[in-house]
Order: sequence, then C-alpha cells, then structure tokens
Amino acid sequence: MSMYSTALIDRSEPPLLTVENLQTSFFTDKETIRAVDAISFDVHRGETVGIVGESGSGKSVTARSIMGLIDSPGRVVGGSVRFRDGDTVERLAEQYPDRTIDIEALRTEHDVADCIERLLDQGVSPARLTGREESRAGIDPVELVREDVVTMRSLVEDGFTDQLGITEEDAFVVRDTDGGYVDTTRASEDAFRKLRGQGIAMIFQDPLTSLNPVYTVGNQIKEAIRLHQGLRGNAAHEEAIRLLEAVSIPDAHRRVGEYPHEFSGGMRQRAVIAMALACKPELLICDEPTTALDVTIQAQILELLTEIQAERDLSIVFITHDMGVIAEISDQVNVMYAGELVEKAPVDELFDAPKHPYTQGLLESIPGRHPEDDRLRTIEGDVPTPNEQPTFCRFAPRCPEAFDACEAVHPENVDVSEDAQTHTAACLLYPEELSTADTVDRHRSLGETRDADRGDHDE
Amino acid sequence: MSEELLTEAQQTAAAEALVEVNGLKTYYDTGGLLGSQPVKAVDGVDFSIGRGETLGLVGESGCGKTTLGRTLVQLETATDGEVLFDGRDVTTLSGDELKKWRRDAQIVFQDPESSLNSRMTVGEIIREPLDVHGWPNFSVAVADPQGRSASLSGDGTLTRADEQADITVSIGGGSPTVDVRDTLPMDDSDVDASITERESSVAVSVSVTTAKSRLRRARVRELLETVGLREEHYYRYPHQFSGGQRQRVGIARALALEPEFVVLDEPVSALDVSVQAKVLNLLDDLQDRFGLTYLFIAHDLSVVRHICDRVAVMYLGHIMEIGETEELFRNPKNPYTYSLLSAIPDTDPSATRERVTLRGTPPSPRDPPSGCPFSTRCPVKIRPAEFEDVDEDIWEGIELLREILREREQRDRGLRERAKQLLGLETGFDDIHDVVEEVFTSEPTAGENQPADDGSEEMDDEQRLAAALSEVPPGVRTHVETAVELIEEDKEPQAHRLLTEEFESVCGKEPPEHHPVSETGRTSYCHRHRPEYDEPEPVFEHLLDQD
Repeated sequence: MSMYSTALIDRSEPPLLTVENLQTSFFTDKETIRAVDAISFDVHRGETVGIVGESGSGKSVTARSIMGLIDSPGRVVGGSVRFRDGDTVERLAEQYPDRTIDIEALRTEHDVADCIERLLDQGVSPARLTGREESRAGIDPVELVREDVVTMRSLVEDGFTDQLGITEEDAFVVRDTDGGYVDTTRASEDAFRKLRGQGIAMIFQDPLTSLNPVYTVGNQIKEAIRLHQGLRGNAAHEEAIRLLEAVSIPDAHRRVGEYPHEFSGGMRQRAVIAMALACKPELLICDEPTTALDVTIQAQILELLTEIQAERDLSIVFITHDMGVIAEISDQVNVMYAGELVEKAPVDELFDAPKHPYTQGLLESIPGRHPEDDRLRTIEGDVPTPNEQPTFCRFAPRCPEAFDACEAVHPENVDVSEDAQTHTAACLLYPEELSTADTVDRHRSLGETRDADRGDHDE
Repeated sequence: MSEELLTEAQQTAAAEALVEVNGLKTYYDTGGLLGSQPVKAVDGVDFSIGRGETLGLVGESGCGKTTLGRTLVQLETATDGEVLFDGRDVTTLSGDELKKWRRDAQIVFQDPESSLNSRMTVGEIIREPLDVHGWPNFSVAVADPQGRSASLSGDGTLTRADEQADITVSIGGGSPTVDVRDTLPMDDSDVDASITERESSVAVSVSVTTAKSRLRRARVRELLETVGLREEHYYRYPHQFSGGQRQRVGIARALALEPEFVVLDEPVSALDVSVQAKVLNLLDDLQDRFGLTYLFIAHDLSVVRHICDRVAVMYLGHIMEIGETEELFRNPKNPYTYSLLSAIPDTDPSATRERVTLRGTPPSPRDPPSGCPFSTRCPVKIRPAEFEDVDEDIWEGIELLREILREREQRDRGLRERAKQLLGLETGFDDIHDVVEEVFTSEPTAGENQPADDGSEEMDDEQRLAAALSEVPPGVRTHVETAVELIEEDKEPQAHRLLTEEFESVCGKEPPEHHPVSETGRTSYCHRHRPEYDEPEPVFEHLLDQD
C-alpha cells in the first residue's frame, strides 16, 4: 500500500469517473496528432489514480480533455467521460432540462426489445449490441432483455438511442433511478463552466498561472467562495481565512491580504489548492502540482493532498512524470506512452512486477534502482509523435523485446494480473500463458472487435 | 559505488585538491533606497574538490548552490574568501590572466533552452568559445637531447614545464621530427618545423599549414561526436533538437576548450527520466575519458547519489554536511540532511518509512537567523533545559508564534502601509488574539464548511486568549501573555525579543561549528554534535516513535 493512502475504496460502487475510449486529436496543416488515443480508466470515490509518462505522452491532454479545456486546433473526437456525482447531475439537469435524458421516462415510453429489433434492422451488428459473439439469426431481443444483457441504460450509454432518434444528440446529462451521470465530452461551454470547480477542479503545475497577480490571494479565494458557495462580505472573508488555515498556511490572517508574489512557491500551490477546495469538488485533477517545487515542499503538498482526501472523500487524478511521487500517492497507476495507455495496475503491483517493456525501462532508468551498476540503464530512441492510426505498437522501435508482429499488429490492453487485482498491459507478449502466435491472434481479434465497436467514432 | 572506489577517490582527494574553497562569501548587494541588507547567497563555505572527483552540491532552491557554482567559475564576484585552483587564488585574477584561466573552468547550465542562442547553428554555438579564445593556441615543446635553451618563432608558444604540449619538436640529427598531440584534429604532416642550432641554444620555427578556421570546424565535428551527436548536426539550429540533445550541445560547448573543471548546474533537471539517464551516462564517460573534475549541482538527490563521489548539502548559504556520498545517504548526521533525505519520494510503494515533514519554507537569505541557519525549521532543535518537558504541540505553537512575529517584523511594507502606521491608523497587529488562537488550538479540520463555533462570536478577546492558552503550562503561559500585552501596546519588537530571550536555545543564538562526524572526514554543522547534547539521530527516532 502506498505510504499515504489509508482510505478504503469501495470498488463495488460504480466509479465516480469513467473515461472510455477517450480520443483527442490536434489538427495541424501538416498532420493530425492523436495526442490521446482511445484510453479508458476509472476513478472511484476516495481513490487516487496516477497517470505517469514522459513529456509528450499525452497525460496533460487527458486531464484537459476531462475538464473541457482543449483549445483549437485540438478537439475531443471520440469516447466519453462520465462523471457520476448525484448532486452535479441534479444541478445540471435542472439547468439544462432540454439536454437531459431521463432513462426512467424512456423506459415507460419505449420497449427495449422493440428498440433492439429496430437497431438490428438498421444493420447494427449483434456483437456490438451485446458485447459477445452472436449471429444475427440466433438472436432473440426479448431473451436479451430478460437476461439484462441489453438495458435501456446500456442503449443510452452506447449512443444507440441517439441513433434511433428517441434522445437528443446534444444531451449530456443522464438521469436514472439509481443516479445518473454527466458526459463531459458532450457538454457545452457554459455547462462546463458550471461543472468545473464545483464537481471537478484542477490544479496546474505552475501556480502563478492560476493566480492573478493584481488581486490579493484572499480576493481570489473569496471570488471562488462567492461563485460556488454564495457567501459574501465578512462570511466569505472568514471562510477564506479558514481555507488558508486548512491548507496549512501559517498566519492566514495576514496572508489573506497579500498578493501572489509575496507567497513562496509552495505557499502559492497551497493557495491554489485552497481555491480549488472553495468550490467543494468531488474530483481533483492535479497536473504535475509538485514538479516545480523542492522535495521538502513537495512532501508537504503531498501530505496535504492526502489529508484533504481523507477528510473529504475526494477522488484525485494525479499526473506526474516522477515515478517516486506516483509510488507515494497513487492507489492505481496508468502508464501512458505516445497517447496510449500501455499499462494499468495497482501501485504495488506495478512497481513489483511491471509487465510492459516500456514500464520496465522507465523504472530501470531511475537512478538508484540498481545501486550496484555503474551505468544507468536507458531506453534507446525518443518518444514518437502519435500521428498515425495505431496499427502497430508505438513502442516497438525502442523496445528491446520487439519481434516482427509488433510492427503489424496493434497491442490491446489484456489482463496480466497475478492475483485477483486488475492489472492490464498492452503488449503482444501477453497473456504470458499463450504461445506467441496465439497472443498475436488474440490481440488482432480484440483490435477488430474494438474497431467495430467504435465504428462511428473513427472517421 | 564500491568500497574500493570510495577509498580511491578519498586518496586522490587527500592527495591533490584541484579546487579549494576557503571562507567563500558571495553577497548580492541590492543597495536600494533604504540601504537594505545584502542577500547573503553564499555565507562562508569551505571545501575542496580533488582532481578527477565529482562533488555533488544539493539543497533547496534559494540555498545558494547555483551562486556558489557560478562564483567558482568567476561568473559572480566573491565578496570574501578565496577559491584556489591548482593552488592559485582565482578570485583576484583579472584581464588576460582571467581569460586564460577560463579555459580551464567551464560551466553547463540547467536550461538548454535559454543557454543556447537560437539564432546560431549548433556548430557556431560550439565553435564560439574556440573563436573567443583564439583556439588553437599551440603550445610547443622542444625536446633537445643536449638540453639547450630553446627560442620559438612562428605559430604557438613554448610550453611551461608542467603543461602538456600540443606540438613536440624533437631535435636529433638532421631535420627535426614533429609530433602532434593526438586529441588535436590534425596530423604531424600539417606542421612544418625548422631549426637553427647554435652552441648554447636552439631557435625553432614552427608553422602550421592548416588554417585555424578549418581546425576549429574539425574540432567542432569531433566534439559533436564526443557527446553523441552526429556531424551533420553542425548546421542545424537548437530548436530542431530535443531537450536531451540540446543539453549535449551545451556539454560540447563546455568541453571545447578542454577544461579541467566543469560546473554542472542542474544539467539534467529539465529532462525526462529516460533521457536523463542517457545524459548522466555521457557525463560519466566524459569524465573517465578526459579526467574531468565536476561540481554537480542538483536538487534531485537520487541523481546525486548515482553520480557523485562526495556530496555537500547546502542550506541558506552554508554547507550543513559534507562527506562521502554513500555514507552520507545511508547515515545522515545533520538534521537538515536527515529531513531532506526523508522527503525524497521512494520508488518502492511497499516501503513503510516514517517521514519527517519540515514546516514552512527557508527564511530569507537577506536576513538569516543569527544562530544556526536551520534553527527556524529544525525538527530536533535543542530546547532550553527548563522547557524540556513541554508538550510537543504546545512547543510547536510557541515556535510558530515566534516565526509569525519574526516574519511580520521583516516583511516589506508598502508605502501606504508605512504611512498609515506612522499616522497611527494601523498597528499592523490588531489580530494578535486570532493569531494566538490559531497557533495554540489544534489545527482546524481542513474539512467541511463548519460555521465558526457559535460561542466564540460572543467571547471577548480576553476569554478567547484564556481559552486558547488553557492547555499551556503556566511557565510558558505567563510569557505568552506578557508578549500579547506588549503587542497590544504596540511594542512588537519588545514582545519578539521577550519570546526569543525566554524560549531560545543555543541553536538560535550562536552559529554551530563543523563537527567531524565520521572517520572519512565527513563534517556536520550542528550544535547537537557537542558532547553536552543528544545526537540528532536518536532524537529523530524518538520524534517519529511518538507519531
């Protein structure tokens, strides 16, 4: 277990955030850069999910895509980000009634079996509908509904209801009897403004970019308090002081009236965290929050984040290139390489038994892992720019274990768990128990199913 | 590093120091309207670096490590003290002598983005030092079996006795033979030498047939290859390179004049870990190949541990601890080193290690504490004997209160504030009760929005103070109460002084000494090494056990 994480995470509950096949591309005159290329992961309540990778691997773009902060020439081109926070769903549903899907209402209006029938008639493959191998003839819609293989919820989540025309395409709030979700990839800019801060908040690497130099720190925190909690005047002032104290800024009474330049680097980052907390978020995305800080200050900030997490049951997505920081703060780690997720594992397992050759190389090149060696181990070559369709392994040119098929078959994330925990890696070497030819076949067929699944996203 | 190598490094360090620093101080005097205090970036350091050794210099930002590095290569002027390079004090050099010496001491900067001119090609960048110093300045040695005195005309100058010659002219029957040093990009045949022999002297005339510009281009190509780039990179611009490659260009430039000593100022801090490993390996190779001596400045302690023979830990302009790397990392003696090492994130998530988290940030180097520089943050600071048993949290509260008073006294006040204070409109300290309350009551939960305790609104200041201090033992309480009274009477300096007199120990009063703490000559700058106090380590353990 990582040093800080003590909270128990309930994994039986649906995750707070689900990122599914998220794809973000940047369109330039020269090429299309697939900065984030079909990545999927979950964040549970109270959990810290680390995203690690070298510069250019797409970790920051992932965070910004979740927050809706991608600017032209970039665009989220596919996938979904589902944020399941009851309060946020209710709040947004109230504000955007036209863009809300009420699944309960759909159930009374439409029959699921009927919908399946119509979809099949429109030429949707049974495999896509059910997620399992099935032939057109042997399929019985009524049976599927009775077995709960296909539900109204799953039809909505997979976008089939849009196809049938029974829901609006620009709807992004989904309500259901057991809570709903907000699909942030479809939200409009003004809806995002209501979602950001309250709901999902973000902390950036350089606190100075998040602080306005011409206003006092207290002023900026008070602004957030006014907007998100509706407090004003003295009450807001008191709350701002309380928040500064909560992030362990000493002498908060004086500090609240000071300007950002009067704060040290660590204190600025604390002030930014205080601003984020003023919005009472459920999910905090931290994009390299400690990279610009000294180790002693980094330790303070990491400790602070862990405390806050324990007190508020906050979920954290923590992005960094520092393996040491990842080891300390995360519960679950995603390793990114050239826009793709190459390995995903609980933190202990990732560091004990990394599976993907890239993760292995990354860990090996940290000074101090092999004190007996005089030379550091390195990974040959550089991170490529992901500007092509992934029909091959992007790490293959640098991979010490690469073989011919790596150039021709795209590796999919497959289970490599040693015990019950979920550990996946996208590499043709796995699953280990199969022969090479079999694993290659497995990856090829997984890739085909996935391509079919995403048919409508991949133009 | 293995034991064997360690002792070897030690021996060379003891045998021959290339760089010796004695009482070096570098202050930045900002002058200013009100004649403010200088910034004491480096405040009296002593150490030496042996030939072929790598000395690591670590510390938090603002501790003066970069200033120290820049002072060693004379990019900053030392305020006091000396830097002996091969026994010669270089802080007093100027003009031609300084320029000549610069060839021996070079620097690689942290950010290759800003240290490479984006309008010059990589070739031009690496060639620049060659042009500036008029390279090649051939040194010629005359090997005469009869040992006559030699005079030289044409290209080059005669070598001093201790230098390695670029061109050696050997006299012995008939025409002289010429030998060119291997590392120069030319052949023996590129040099014409003629001699005129007399009874007691030889006149040698040397002329190099290759043009200097061609030699320089050849040298640059060779350097490109040395640092792992390719010849065709000569005509490319810095923006066409990745971070790691740019740093290689910076290294090639530093090596162009064949220095003996290189200051590496955070050379890998801006690089990704896999690129960083490659650059570190390169630096290691270059050191072996050219016998370089490094001062390696970094804040990443794992990198330092890998590459350095010895490490100096700096804090607020002072060297807190200096010694053999592995020994220092395994068994840190100084409380600051201990805390710093404890803060490094461990890449082993299963490790269950207790961590010392330092409070606050380093004080301003413009006004460092009068005693030990670390005394304002030290977790194992010595307490005055009468307060030995005061509860940890309450003691922490006292330290925090003093820190707040100190900071408020120091802070730069705007003109408006100063005017207000002169007119008596603002005391600058009308919230002392809030501060005392904040300091002595246990931390507010960083949690949900609990409205301030309803009762507290109605309590007056006296009651709040009493409530905040209810847990505090009487011996401490009287002093705090007196201080609060003084502050209410606008006598803040007196209040600060009172608290300092009552609660300060030797740590805040007098600077410590550099105590030797191991057989290998490691020293630590801490009062706790004096026989009358407990050593830092057991105190740390006791502290961690309590948590």
